[in-house]
Amino acid sequence: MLNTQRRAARLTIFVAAAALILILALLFFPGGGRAQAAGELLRYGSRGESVRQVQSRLNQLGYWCGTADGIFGNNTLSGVRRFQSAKGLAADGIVGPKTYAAMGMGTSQTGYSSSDLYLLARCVYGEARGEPYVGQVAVAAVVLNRVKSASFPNSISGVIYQPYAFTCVADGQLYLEPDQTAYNAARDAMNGWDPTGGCIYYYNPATATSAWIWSRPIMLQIGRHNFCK
Amino acid sequence: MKNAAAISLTVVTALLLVAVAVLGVFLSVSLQTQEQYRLSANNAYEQAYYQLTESMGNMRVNLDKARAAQGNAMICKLMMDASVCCQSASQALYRFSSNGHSAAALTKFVNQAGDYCAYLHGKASRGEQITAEERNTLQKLGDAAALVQEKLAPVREELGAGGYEFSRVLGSLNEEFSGVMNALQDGSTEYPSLIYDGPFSDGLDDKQAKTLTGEEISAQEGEKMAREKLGALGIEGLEYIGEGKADFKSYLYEIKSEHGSGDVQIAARGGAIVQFSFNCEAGEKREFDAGEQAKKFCRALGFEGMTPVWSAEKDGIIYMNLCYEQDGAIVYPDMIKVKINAADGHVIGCETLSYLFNHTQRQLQKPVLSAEEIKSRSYGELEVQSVRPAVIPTPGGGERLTYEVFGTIGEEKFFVYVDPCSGEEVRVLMVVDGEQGELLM
Repeated sequence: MLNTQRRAARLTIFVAAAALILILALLFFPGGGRAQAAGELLRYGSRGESVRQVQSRLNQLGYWCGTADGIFGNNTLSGVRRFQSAKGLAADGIVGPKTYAAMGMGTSQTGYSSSDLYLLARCVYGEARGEPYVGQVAVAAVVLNRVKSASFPNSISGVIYQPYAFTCVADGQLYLEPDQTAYNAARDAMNGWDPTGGCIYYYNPATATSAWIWSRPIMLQIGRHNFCK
Repeated sequence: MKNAAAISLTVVTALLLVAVAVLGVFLSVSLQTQEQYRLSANNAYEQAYYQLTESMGNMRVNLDKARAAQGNAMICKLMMDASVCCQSASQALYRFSSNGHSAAALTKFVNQAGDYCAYLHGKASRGEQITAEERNTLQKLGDAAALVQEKLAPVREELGAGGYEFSRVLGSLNEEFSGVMNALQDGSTEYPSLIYDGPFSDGLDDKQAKTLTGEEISAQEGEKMAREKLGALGIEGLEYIGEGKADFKSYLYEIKSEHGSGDVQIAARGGAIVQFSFNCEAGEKREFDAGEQAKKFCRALGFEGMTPVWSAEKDGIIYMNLCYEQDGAIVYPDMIKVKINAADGHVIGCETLSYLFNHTQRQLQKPVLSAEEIKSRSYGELEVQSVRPAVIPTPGGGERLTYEVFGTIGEEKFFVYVDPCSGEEVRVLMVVDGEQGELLM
């Protein structure tokens, strides 16, 4: 009986302590989930998202190192060394703080380039990853059509950050690092490709709840999106 | 043993009390933070509201003053002031887009009005007279601005009493303020259609594609034509996606080839390729003449007489712009864009919309000034490299013949477009290094 009481008391203490730890954990780590910025030391054999970001950046800068697959292989090593040589850094093939800084990536999220192309690619990735390529170009084209329209802000950043205009801005998916496909789609749109023919709205009929958006005449359907004027 | 159980119970109670206290503090801090965010959001709305009312008031006054002004210098000043007020109102309105479209109609009004004022400013600065019709339009714009001001006024009284919430639910404006945003749509004022030479002209909405004159084809015929026209690209699969109804009817297909996957869009009338693009892996540039490749591709599609005018290379992809050349003049409105893989020189995309809309055989006026005369003029610091005749698009969808003067100031490159009769400068473009290579701005 005494053993049972002792066990019950221990169990109660354990449960109470676990509850306390859980509460403290919830209080002090409320966020999480946002993509981490590149910052770790990368070398031949490294893998992961940071490698993919570096590959993507090198490709953008013209130091071709193959598809951005997240694996630091020979192509990436060669690309990093060529970049380091060109920038007057020690061509050791290791991506550290100096190389990150020279790439304009820094070691924190705020150090990354905030050009219009990068922002547009982030928007495309946040809104339409998983859509066919033409669907991604179409989403980028809608942003640019809004820039040209009198009814919307007249800059890419103005359009994208207009309150509640894009879901990915409201739910934080805009902060995900875009892949090469999103970059290519954004670049196509910025060079004039527009499969929508001037549309300024799109929605996913499976999730859209606004009665207003359903009233717009549909000009084109691509993947899961309806495009409207 | 009883003591041990009592100690355990005390420890448990203490731990739970600590947990409740911590939770209480956390909830209190959270609620305070939430209230701060709510106040901050409402303050931002209020600031935007004050900016909007002030800008609409100043815009109206400047538009009304223009009715009493006759001299071009005064018209220039008033139109510039009105245009700045419109920009300010437009900035304020972006705050009130609670769902991406709630402020769209009012935003369109202020942007169009601002653009129209900028157009009249340009006209007056060239010494041209403002017509009676234009004055009438200014008056109607002023009336519309007055109506918006009137609808905004009651909100100010409530703000003074300290009890107006612009947004009670996250992501939506309150109903009363949504009504203000729709002030111009209730039929109580006549907001005129604005047809003028500017980028927000209503005239741009009615543009017709000049080259799409053939018979309408079916989606099956379109697929066949796409295979024929892009056959050289080694098409492995073509799948119908759907029909496009914007601007003109078109068919869209998903396309797979040895260059990767992409899409192609065919005009239903006549079957011209509107655009196609592959998302393929690119690589390091090899030596080849990208301009010649692009010209060859255009010829194969039936677009004759195209000249490369611009190229930008980034990420292993070359974007090449080609324009139609007529009587030695580059016709910029008739532009085709070709995308080339830098690794192997294969064409992986093409965009012809501008050409399809604008191409026609033009009656080009004979320039009063010769290219040599234009070249011999002074352009300040600009060191002139070349001069050639060029037809350029105007902001309102028209076009005009000019001379294109290319020159440099130190390392910087410039294109200056001048009138072929008076030699007056009509546009200046500068080459800047951008994320996508060299850009013209």
